[in-house]
Amino acid sequence: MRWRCTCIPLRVRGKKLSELKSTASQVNVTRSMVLCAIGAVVGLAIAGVGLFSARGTATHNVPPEDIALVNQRPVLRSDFVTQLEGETGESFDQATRAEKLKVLDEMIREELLVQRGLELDFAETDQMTRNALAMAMDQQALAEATTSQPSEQQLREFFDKNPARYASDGILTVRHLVLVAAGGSVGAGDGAASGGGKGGAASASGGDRSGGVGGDGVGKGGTGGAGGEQAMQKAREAVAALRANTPVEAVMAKFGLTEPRNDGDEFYFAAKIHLGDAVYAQALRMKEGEVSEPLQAADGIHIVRVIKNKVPVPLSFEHARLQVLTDLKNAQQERLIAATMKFLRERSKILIAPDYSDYKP
Amino acid sequence: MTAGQGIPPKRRRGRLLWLVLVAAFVLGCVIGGFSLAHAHALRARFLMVPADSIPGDAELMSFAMSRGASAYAEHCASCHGAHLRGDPALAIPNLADHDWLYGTGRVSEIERVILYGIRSGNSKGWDLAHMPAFATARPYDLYAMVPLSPGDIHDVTSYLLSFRQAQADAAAVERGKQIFYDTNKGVCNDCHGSDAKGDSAIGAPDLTDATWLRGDGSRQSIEDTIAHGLAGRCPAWIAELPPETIRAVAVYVYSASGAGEKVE
Repeated sequence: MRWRCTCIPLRVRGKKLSELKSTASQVNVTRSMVLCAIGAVVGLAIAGVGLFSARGTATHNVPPEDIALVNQRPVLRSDFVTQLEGETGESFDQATRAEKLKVLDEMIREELLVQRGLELDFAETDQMTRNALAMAMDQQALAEATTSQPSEQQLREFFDKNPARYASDGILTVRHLVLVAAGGSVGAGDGAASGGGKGGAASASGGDRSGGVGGDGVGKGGTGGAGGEQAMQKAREAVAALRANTPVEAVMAKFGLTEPRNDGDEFYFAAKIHLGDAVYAQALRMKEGEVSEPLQAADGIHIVRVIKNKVPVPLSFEHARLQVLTDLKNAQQERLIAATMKFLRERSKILIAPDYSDYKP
Repeated sequence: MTAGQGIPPKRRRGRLLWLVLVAAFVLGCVIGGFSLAHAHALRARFLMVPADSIPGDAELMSFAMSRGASAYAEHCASCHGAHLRGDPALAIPNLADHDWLYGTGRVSEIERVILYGIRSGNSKGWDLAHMPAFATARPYDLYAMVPLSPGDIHDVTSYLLSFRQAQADAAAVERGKQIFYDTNKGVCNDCHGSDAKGDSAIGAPDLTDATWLRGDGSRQSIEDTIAHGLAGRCPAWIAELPPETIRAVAVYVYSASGAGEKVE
């Protein structure tokens, strides 16, 4: 077949236009058909390779930022360098070629195993994989919250909306004395827990009262019997002596009081653990130098002398800025997690067994 | 008969003009192609060489600096500031003070921080430890630690301040030292080291120098940090920026920070 020149002359004078069109269209049709056929064959060949070859149409070039591609999954150079330096304990330049190749082999091996694990759907069957995936999703929300830096205005708005969060630490210093009724019953007074009549059973030297030994079972003035009344009278006398500025040690010696612990200055949370809820609540209401009324509890009669009560004061925005930033980001993260869960629930079909039909997310 | 004979001069000039235009186009394509190929090759080389070797290569440095500066301005300056000086009020580290929290300031280490972040949620990011909040009932969320009292915090602060200036209350310094090394209470040396010089493998700062991540090194700011803890975050940019941009920012930060030298 002889190819004919298909160039259309710039100057077509002297030829009829219909004649020219006819020639050009004949030639173009032939060529177009041939080119289309070639294109179709090439396209089919590529598609065939893609369909019937495991490697498909994958690239054969490793991107410069990667050290390897394993089934098109990249192994980053940066990860390679980090792993190499971590394993060898020396810098990348100091590592030998053999060490580098060994680490590369390990990374490829890991990638292959991970890919096989995905094929085997370990996420469905392996609990550790499931835990890691669930944690990774939570972390993803953190990643999104971390990437965006809140503006100054957002920080200030958050601060203004949550003023109670931003205050200095309250500090309480007390002398906490306990009269343990020896042998007699220390009856529970007002608000006492069920510990009434178990006087002396609980050790006064126990230290922390978190969780409440007797919990809120501390009451003022109530007595549970003759022994209890005597103990209460003794405690009242001790209180009177303390209020008369008698040294604490002298009062302790005279009335047989014990001091479970003396931690000096305590943050409010620590004082609450140390004193128990009821005694702590009483102490919070007192001013420096004040002595409480005797407070009866299952483990004895408590007396508190407040040495210092530094109440929290609101912080300025400038002082609280770091905490505001942290809280705002935490709030963002929680919102993102909640939104993710809402989205996942909405697009999912969750069927609950009839005996758990009261389930609510 | 030779070519061109019989062609009118006007037509010959037109043909010449076409030839010139075509030649210019071809030349432009060739130059453009070479330029693209060179840029591609340069990008590939930039990404393939060990990151720590880039500062010694003028061509790669030139490639990195303009890209790095603009990417830094767009993505990092909102926290670290236009001049890399951070914000002590928010415990955002100064990148220009030669003092590195994580690593020693090598390009590859900076690159890794940018790639995966710090407490970023990316599992490859730095997240080994954070500063406990000792004025809370549960100072540390990873394992049980004993809270400190206001007096303890005061004493530990006295001990830390004594590294730079003699303290009037020697007893407080001694008590603070006890707490610093106490394996049940404080346990400060576990992260900050037996010499209190920190540990860049976990992001624990040197407490003996004059550089402070948060605040100004005053008693108040140190006590605040011990009381309320610290857990700064840096995003992971691996999914947000192309690899050459991340590396360029690392080079830019390295260069702008004084090339990783640590001032004692």
